[in-house]
Amino acid sequence: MSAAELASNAPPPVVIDSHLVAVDVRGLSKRYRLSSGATDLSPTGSAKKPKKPKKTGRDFWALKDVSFTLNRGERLAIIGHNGAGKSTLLKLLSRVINPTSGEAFLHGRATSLLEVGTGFNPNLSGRQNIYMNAALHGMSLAEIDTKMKAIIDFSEIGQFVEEPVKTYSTGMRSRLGFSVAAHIDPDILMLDEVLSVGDASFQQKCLSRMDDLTGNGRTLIFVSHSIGAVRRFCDRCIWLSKGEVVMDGPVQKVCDAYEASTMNIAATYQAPSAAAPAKKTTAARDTKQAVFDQDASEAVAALVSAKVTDAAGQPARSIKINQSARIEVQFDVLKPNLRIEPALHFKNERGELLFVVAYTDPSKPDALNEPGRYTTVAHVPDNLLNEGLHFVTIALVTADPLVRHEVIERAVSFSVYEVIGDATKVARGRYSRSFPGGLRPRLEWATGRNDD
Amino acid sequence: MSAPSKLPVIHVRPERGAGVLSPLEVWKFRALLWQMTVRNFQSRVVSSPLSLVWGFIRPAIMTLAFVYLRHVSGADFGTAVPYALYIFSGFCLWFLFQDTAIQVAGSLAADAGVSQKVYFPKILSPLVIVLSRWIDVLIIAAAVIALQFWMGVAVGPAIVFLLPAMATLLLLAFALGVLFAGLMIYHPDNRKFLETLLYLGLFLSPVLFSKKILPEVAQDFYLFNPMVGILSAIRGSMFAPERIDFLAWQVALVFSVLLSCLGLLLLANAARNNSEKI
Repeated sequence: MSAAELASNAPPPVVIDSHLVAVDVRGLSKRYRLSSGATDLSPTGSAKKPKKPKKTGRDFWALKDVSFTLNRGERLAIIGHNGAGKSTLLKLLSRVINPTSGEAFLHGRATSLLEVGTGFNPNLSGRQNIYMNAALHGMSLAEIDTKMKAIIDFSEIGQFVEEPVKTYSTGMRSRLGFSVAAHIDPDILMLDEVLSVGDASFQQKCLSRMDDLTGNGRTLIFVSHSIGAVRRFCDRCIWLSKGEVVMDGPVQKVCDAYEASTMNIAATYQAPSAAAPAKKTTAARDTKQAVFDQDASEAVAALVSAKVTDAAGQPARSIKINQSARIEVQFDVLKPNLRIEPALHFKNERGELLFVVAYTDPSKPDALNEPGRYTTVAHVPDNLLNEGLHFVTIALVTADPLVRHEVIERAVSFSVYEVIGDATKVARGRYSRSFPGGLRPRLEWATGRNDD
Repeated sequence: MSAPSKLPVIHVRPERGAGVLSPLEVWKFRALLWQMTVRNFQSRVVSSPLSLVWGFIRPAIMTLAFVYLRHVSGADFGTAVPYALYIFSGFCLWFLFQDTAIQVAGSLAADAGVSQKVYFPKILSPLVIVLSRWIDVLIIAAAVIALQFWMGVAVGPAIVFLLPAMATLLLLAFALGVLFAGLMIYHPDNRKFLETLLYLGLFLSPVLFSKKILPEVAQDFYLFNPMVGILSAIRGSMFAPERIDFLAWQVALVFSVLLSCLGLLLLANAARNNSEKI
């Protein structure tokens, strides 16, 4: 999808209440001059004394005319590829760098966390570094003294707080750094990929603290490559590409469009030769695999279309982790008595096979023996798949002995996401970090006490 | 557009010339200035416990060498106090000046790792160096006064002038450092130029000799070296037999103020011009 198409499809702008504005960005641009000393040494073609080499330089716009307004309490995510301008935007709003043109107004105390533990001196103790780091984030001496115990307790470094930071493990340093940041009390909090610190239990504390920080009318601007984290933490999203705003709107819509554009997600599949299945060729789709064990000229089954839908039957590129999905497959059976049936192969974004689903429709115990066009729906239960992208390969087979009549690799795809606040409805439990593996089923637990 | 009431407003906009000089910004960040100064001092003590006494040990070693040379040569340097005290005070003050100027010049680069992640007024970095140097001023003054008493040289009423005289020394170091901090943005090799200049200055200033040994016609021009007035003011305030050359000190003060302004403007200009270069 092109940027222009996306822009035209962008949802209506978010309604702004001028009395609640937290961040007002107007035409912010940042230009860099690439002056790497590149020299024009093109030959003159004559025997005369060559001209003095001419320095060449060109402008690079890291950010170009970005405007948006953010209300208090909104949680804005900035997404985009490397070099899209995400961190530049955050650095501009943090005043670490100055814009070339445009301006922005931040109403309230603003704190940016571009890095955990900025300014730590390895030779000084944890306590001494807390003073310095907290002062860097705008805390007064009195505030630091008041919060010192809470910061130390939160960081879980205990008695080591009096030891030089150079004796700390990487995790301890990160925990100390985040702990200071977690006790800043800003109106506007800007974060750049800094939530992945410490072990699982510490991450849980960080996330809880994040919820506290971003609650109560505080505003969050969050830059991340992790679409899962963006979907969990934010309610609004801006997609940047080459320094320009591609899309600005509700987080699910923008993330869906971003993933569709960048990850080649397609919630629907339509066979190019569906109108004339008997003449189809194996080159119908790049990812289409040649018919196994079967001559293409003697095709016995053909996939017509497929789509991923939500529980209500609406096509969906993204499915909430605790909601069911449907894989709807339409196909032609071209020859009789071959017990044709569909099979689904679920793979994750790394291409790892998660599981294979066989056709078990009780109304068709002998599969499909009569030629004709069929539509079948497989229901994917809620709380089965893990967060992330999922690709579904659709095969039309005869089960026993196994004959693969047609296989469409990655025919459809969709992303599974989770939002914060659903802890009791999902399989996450009290964990906060990303779950490994392709599946994340929520099982029924029953616990009794043995001495009762 | 109306803003939420009573909330501070941060205005992000293209950099302006006075940004780096704004006293208001420094005042807003006074807590950070204090913490950076404390950290600077703490890290010096932790990483090199002798760093505090090094301020007079190095001059003491140099003094021994030069006193021996003078003894061998029998030269007269025109000092009103014992030569050992004269050049010990001179070396102490010169090394303080030299180290401060070099550290101020490199302070922006030293804090680059932090300033690229968190906003604070850039002028804080050189200010921290100068503020943390007041500890060295106290230690050096104590060492010189101890030697002074040991050699039987009296302290006169002009001692009250020691504080402004020392402040002028640090102001000149700040001015020179900031000027070269700006020049180093354009080209890092300017640091070498600064070091060479300071090395040369040691022999062109009245550190090892009194200006009285110069021809009278040269003495009139010699006060345009700002270190003449500063060293005269500090020695004159500490040693009763020495006299403060107030004219030379005023020249030094005006020179230091003007050089500070020039240095800050150059620094602001250099930072602005280079902010868009990769």
